[in-house]
Amino acid sequence: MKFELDKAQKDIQKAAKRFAKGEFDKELALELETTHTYPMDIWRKACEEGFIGLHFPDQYGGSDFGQLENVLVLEQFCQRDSGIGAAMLTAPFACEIILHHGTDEQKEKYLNQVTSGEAISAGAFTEPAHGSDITSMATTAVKDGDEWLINGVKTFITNAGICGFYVLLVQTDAEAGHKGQSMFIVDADAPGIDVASVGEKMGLKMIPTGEVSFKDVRVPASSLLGVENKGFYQVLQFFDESRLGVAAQALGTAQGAFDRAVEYVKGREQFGQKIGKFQALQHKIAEMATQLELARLITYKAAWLADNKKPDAKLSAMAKYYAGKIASEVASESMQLLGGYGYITEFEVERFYRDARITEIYEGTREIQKNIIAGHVLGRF
Amino acid sequence: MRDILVLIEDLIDAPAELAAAARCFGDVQTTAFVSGGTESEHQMLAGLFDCVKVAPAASDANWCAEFLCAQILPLLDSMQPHLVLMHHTNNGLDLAPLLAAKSDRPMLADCISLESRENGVSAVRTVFGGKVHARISATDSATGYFATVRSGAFSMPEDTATKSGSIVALPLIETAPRRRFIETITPEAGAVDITQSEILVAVGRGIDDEDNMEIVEELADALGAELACTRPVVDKGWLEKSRQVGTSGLTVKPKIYLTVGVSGSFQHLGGIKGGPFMVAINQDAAAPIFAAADVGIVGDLFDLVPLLEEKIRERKG
Amino acid sequence: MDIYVCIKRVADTSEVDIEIDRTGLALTEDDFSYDINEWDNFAVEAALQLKEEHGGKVTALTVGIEDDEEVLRRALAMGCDEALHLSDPCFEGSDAWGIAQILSAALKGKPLDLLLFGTVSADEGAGQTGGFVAGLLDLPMVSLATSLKVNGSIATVSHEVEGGLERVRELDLPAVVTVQTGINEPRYVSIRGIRKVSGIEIPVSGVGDLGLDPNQVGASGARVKLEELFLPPQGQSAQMLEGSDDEIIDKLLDLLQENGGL
Repeated sequence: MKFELDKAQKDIQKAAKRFAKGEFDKELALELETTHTYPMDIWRKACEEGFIGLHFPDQYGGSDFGQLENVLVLEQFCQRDSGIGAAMLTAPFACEIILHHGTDEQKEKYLNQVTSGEAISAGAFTEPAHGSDITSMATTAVKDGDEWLINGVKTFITNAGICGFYVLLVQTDAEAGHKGQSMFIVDADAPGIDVASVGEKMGLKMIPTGEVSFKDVRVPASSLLGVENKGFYQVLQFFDESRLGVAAQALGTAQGAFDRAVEYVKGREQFGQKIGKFQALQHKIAEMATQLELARLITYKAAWLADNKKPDAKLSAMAKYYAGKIASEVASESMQLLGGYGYITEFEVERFYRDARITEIYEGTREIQKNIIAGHVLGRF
Repeated sequence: MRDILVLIEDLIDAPAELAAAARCFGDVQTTAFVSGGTESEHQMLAGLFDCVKVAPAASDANWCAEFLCAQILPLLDSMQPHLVLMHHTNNGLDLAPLLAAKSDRPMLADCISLESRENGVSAVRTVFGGKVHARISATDSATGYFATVRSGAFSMPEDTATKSGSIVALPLIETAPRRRFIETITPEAGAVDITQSEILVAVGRGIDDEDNMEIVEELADALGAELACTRPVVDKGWLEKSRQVGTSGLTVKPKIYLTVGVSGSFQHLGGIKGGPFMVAINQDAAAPIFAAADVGIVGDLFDLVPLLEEKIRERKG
Repeated sequence: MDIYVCIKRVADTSEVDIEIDRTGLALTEDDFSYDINEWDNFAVEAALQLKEEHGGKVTALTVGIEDDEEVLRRALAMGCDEALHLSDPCFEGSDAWGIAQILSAALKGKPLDLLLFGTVSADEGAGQTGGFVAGLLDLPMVSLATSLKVNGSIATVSHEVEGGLERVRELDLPAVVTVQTGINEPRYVSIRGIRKVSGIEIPVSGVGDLGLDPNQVGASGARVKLEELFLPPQGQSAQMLEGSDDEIIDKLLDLLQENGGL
């Protein structure tokens, strides 16, 4: 057993840290939050430096690295800035499905767009009537000659309105339930697509989240992604992988809040001494540091397994569940340590707290993660 | 008696400081080397040193390490001084290592104190950005020693210019320098001349963000002071170069010098002369600025500075 | 153009509490992160920009232990063509003079046009190594460079002198230039760059390869010895004001008033 990153992984960690330090500016982040603006310039620079889709093959603009390297980058990014970091996480969202199931033409076109900074992607799975339960879709695609005709509404779609294309899950066989679902890649400018906001969010304020309606949207047969009627399984497999990204987001966000709290307690004086000298506070710090270390271990291990051809759905669910849980806790406690300042935007921790909370909700709520874990533990009985 | 050769670079405060540094070695024979300069300047040096060796000025009248090496090396050969001393300034950085290498002498750089040992020299210098001090030594050198000292680290009692040293002109050693002077660039003068200000509020890296400059601007306004800054603040483009204090910036002589978020690197402190009343506000209790300041406050700049501004305005009515 | 750039890996001590270890000769390193010395990063960028303009080859060198190899990989990932790791157990404990001996031995006889250094290092901060090597190799040198251009066999360099002034010099190549921060905007290390260099074996040269006498380098060859490290007395001269923020500021105002500041 070897608990050490290899040389390239350490290099990547440092490169990501330096990039984030150089580009993620606190004042800019506050402004982007207030104006609900996606950090486009930073995203393009991140593409230029190869951070986006680094786990894609070289021919599609990636660097042939794996999920662990992706996790390391996202952790550093979110540690520096929970909002901009999350925006970088979502920029190539759902592209792993294209990578694993797409045709060569699809990969060539879409993956290169995403790694070169031409397009942001979006995954459109959730529907108003179904949240984390995707076993049955109201959105349909019906074959019409050489084309498909898509109708329906998707909601809580990250990057809706700013993305270049949607990776879409629809029902192609209404009778077959989850065995009748297929996936399509739909260009965002296709006629018949309409985007509406889902309303103001608690966090992730730089990233648009929308409701996307498809009305008689025609796509060519070549838009089918993967195997017809296997869409459900493709998405489940993707979630096993994408949970690693959310776990990394949670981990980085928690660490970022924690770092700011530690810096504060070392400097702040109350009742005649530095507040870091109070034992109650020291114990709190110790607990948080331990939680962070555990979340890091489980996340790295789950990513390592995925990269070593032993993907483990249970472990990736555990990583997402645990990292998300402690992200909320650590960010909340960090805010508490700053007292009144913790509640003030300028001190950043409240934003980390707001951004942390989503990691327990999106890409499978923590309850769904527990279902997955319990399912693996208990099996059939 | 041991010989010490002192290389004079600027003729204002430096000679007395170097004479003071030479005194750390007890009863020594001191020789000053200077290239160019006026007769009265040479007389002034003769008051501080036992002997003054005057080399011709370089043809372009500018500090040129190669030219100076050529003039000084024969002197080292003939004098064989125990120690060569000069300041660790930008010019010192340019000349000293080159000359130490060419004369094969162990070099102790940027010393803040010096001590003579029976078999050599020991010194204290700062490392890790001034957070740590290091005691170093060089001993048993057959070729003698070379030390550069920090500006302002050595001071001389008032009554020191009591010598009446001899003044000796040195012949010009011709060189075909591989390094040539083209021109001097003077930074564009800012709207203000901080070298003339009596009260300065100096801001350093600790201010953290350009948007935070406002609180120090307000403080300076309340105090009737001008803003000054450290190099990182200029590097980041938050203030213009004409407000930079330090060895690669301007030298100032205010009466009051109030620093905010300034760590106190020697490069910055090297630009503050005339012993102002110095106040330091910094978050880091270990910052070297507290060793230089008269009054120190450890605390949050963003609480203290606006409060200070408010109370100044109250007192001033 | 053949450009060599000498770089160093240093501990980042700017944001950690420093403790001196039991030997009194080193710092306790638990919380340190290491990276390329900031000045050296500017030197690497300067070298790469010259190569991009004039063609040629950039070689990065460092003297140090196995872990120090990371700064060479970093330089390669940024775009340097070759790297040379000068590493040998008997280099350990070298002073700046020893480092300069090692670098000079490695550079001697190389087809060199320009040799770049960062002016100082963030740890030792003595600013000697570049000058020592210039002296040992008998090359002209300019320190604290703030701009650097090459035209044929001549480099034009502006550099910082006293009093906020800059001087412009011409240097006959080959020459040594030590670089000041701010001379350029160093590029990031890209992920593609890291991929390109991952798995590359960086050649290592030791004392024998360089034809050095082991007694010339390392702790035994050090001309300047470290006797002890100690923390400077805190607030040595400053009167530290304490109390509530209100009390502190009131005291400060009294003191400012006494000293003619109001």
